[in-house]
Amino acid sequence: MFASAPSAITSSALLGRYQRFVVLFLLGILTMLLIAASGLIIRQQSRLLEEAFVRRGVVTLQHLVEVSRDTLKAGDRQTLTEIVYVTKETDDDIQAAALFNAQGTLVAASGPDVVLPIETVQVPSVVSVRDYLVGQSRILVGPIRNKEGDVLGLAYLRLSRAKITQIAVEAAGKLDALIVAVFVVVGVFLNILLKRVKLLAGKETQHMQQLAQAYENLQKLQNQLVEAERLAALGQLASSMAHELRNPLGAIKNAVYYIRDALKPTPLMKEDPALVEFLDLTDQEIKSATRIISDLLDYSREMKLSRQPTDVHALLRQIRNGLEVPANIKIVEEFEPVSLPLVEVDPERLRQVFSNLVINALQAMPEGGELRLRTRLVGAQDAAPALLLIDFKDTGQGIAPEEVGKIFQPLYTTKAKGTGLGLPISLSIAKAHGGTIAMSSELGQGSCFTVQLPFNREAA
Amino acid sequence: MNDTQKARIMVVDDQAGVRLTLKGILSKKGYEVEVAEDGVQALALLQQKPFHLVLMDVIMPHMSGVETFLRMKQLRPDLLVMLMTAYAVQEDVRRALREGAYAVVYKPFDMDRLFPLLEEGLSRRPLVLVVDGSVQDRRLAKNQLLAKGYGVLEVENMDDCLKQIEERHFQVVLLDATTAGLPEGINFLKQIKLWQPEVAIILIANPGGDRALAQTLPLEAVARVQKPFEVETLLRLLKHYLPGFSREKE
Repeated sequence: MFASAPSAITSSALLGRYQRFVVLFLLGILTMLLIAASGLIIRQQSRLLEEAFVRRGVVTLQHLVEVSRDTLKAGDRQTLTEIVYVTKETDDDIQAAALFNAQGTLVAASGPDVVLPIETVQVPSVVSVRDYLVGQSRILVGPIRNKEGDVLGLAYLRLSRAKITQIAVEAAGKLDALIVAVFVVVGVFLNILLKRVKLLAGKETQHMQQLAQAYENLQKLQNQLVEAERLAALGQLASSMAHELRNPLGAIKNAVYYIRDALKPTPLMKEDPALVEFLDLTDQEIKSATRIISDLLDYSREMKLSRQPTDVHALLRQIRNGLEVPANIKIVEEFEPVSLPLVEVDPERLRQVFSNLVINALQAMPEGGELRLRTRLVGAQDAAPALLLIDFKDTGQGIAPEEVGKIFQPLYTTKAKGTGLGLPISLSIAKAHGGTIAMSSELGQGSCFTVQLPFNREAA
Repeated sequence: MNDTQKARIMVVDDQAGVRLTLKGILSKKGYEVEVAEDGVQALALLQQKPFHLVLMDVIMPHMSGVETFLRMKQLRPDLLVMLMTAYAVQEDVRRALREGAYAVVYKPFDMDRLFPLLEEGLSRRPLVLVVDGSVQDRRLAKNQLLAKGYGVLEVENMDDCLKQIEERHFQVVLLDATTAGLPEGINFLKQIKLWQPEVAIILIANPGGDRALAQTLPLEAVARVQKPFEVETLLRLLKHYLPGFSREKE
């Protein structure tokens, strides 16, 4: 169920990221469609308008033809001029009206700017109404014939397209306004929609992220649990194995005791010195096996502290006095806080840590040297010191850089007879106290192990 | 106990190796030894004949050593029982000591340490633990008490004191107040009482430290004597707190 969560998030996030582009794209297409549609509409409307306009012009032209035919035949220019003026007055769109004779000569005109758009020689060939587009004007030319069909002359009308163009422009303007309005409305609407969708998507994304986070945490926790369980199982196994080993070891030890006891009064022991040697060896090996088991148990056991107000300085002195210190090694005390208040620690456990570190230091100085035991209180800026530091600084052989990372690992040892559990146990004891052990070392110069303990003053 | 009538000891352990070797060693030392594989066998054996001491494993199938001990106690209230365990201190072991088990030993143990413990138990002397940082003082007390027929163990600090308390049943703890770090060291006294509620703690006060001590005289201690003390005072106190001993001696 959870496995699909991450992919859902990706697609949702993608949707969120590209939504804006999709919407903008759609908006663009809509706009273009609108523009195209309005263009078409305008063009269609203009065409219709133009056709109607031309038809109206043609009707007027034919009327002019009918009215002027007889007069033209008679050649009465006065009347013809009146006719063209009247014709021009009938319609606002008519800019000019005029009449030409068969030779193409202007006979009557409503204004000065009347020019026939065709060659005069062609006049007889004009058999029907012709339509010319000249600038913003439309010029209609129609033949005036007698009953026999001969062309007597031409009727001329110049129509202004200004009105039509204006109508078209107005229509276009209105459409533009409409488009803008639609665009704005749609835009605003889409924007709101987008925001809402985005909000929802955002919420969903957030939700998904929370889910994913929860899932991740859950998995981490599960891994931790599995690991803890594994370690616990291992610890339990180690612990029960260690305990089970103590019984046979005890029996072996007893057996050796019996053999030694039984051989003592016999001459065998004197005859074969190796017998004693081997019995001693067996005892020693049993002892070292017992120690390994105890260390293993110490390490695998859950650290339970029994804290008591403890004088750490006194503890250090006890350890120092309790050990056989080689004559060529000098132990120097450097207790900075002259009177250290009692600290809430487990004295037994700390004794284990301190003596482990002291013994390690002594063993690191086979040629002799100096072990400096230093205590310091360091603190936050505020009044109360936060940490009690206890340095064990030797002038021994030091630890190679490549080994520094390993010395706190269980079962790692550089000593011939070490179990590789001393430092790991010390570290876990320090950690159980809420502290740790730091170390620095220089090959040939010596090492310094620093036990860091939270400074818990005994409750006053 | 005379050499002529060596004690009869029962060894109870589910591990054949432990049973065999212990039987061999103890028999060789002259003890009469019987073995049992578990608590049920042990109880049956106890009903058949009297034993002076039982050496019993704690972790056994069916019935634990502690449970077996508690049942034995009902059958024979003054039976000496020593427990052996391969495990670290456990609550049920603590309970057994509280209920009067004589001692607990941790496997694998040194036979050289076990024999004095056995003999001390079999002697039935009241056992006094002398805790004093001063060698002269504790030697003095030890010799005087030994001369009067008490069993004595001496330790020089509280850690060793607690170790003894966790392993062995004492009738009296003779505790030097300075060594215990009183009045701050009151926790040690509480711990002693936690393990052995019935032990009589007699505090030895140093001259001068008396007043401070008197103010904080802990309830855990039954009595207090002042250094240097008359042996007679101490013996009177001991007799008072160990009425059983004086009867046995007569």
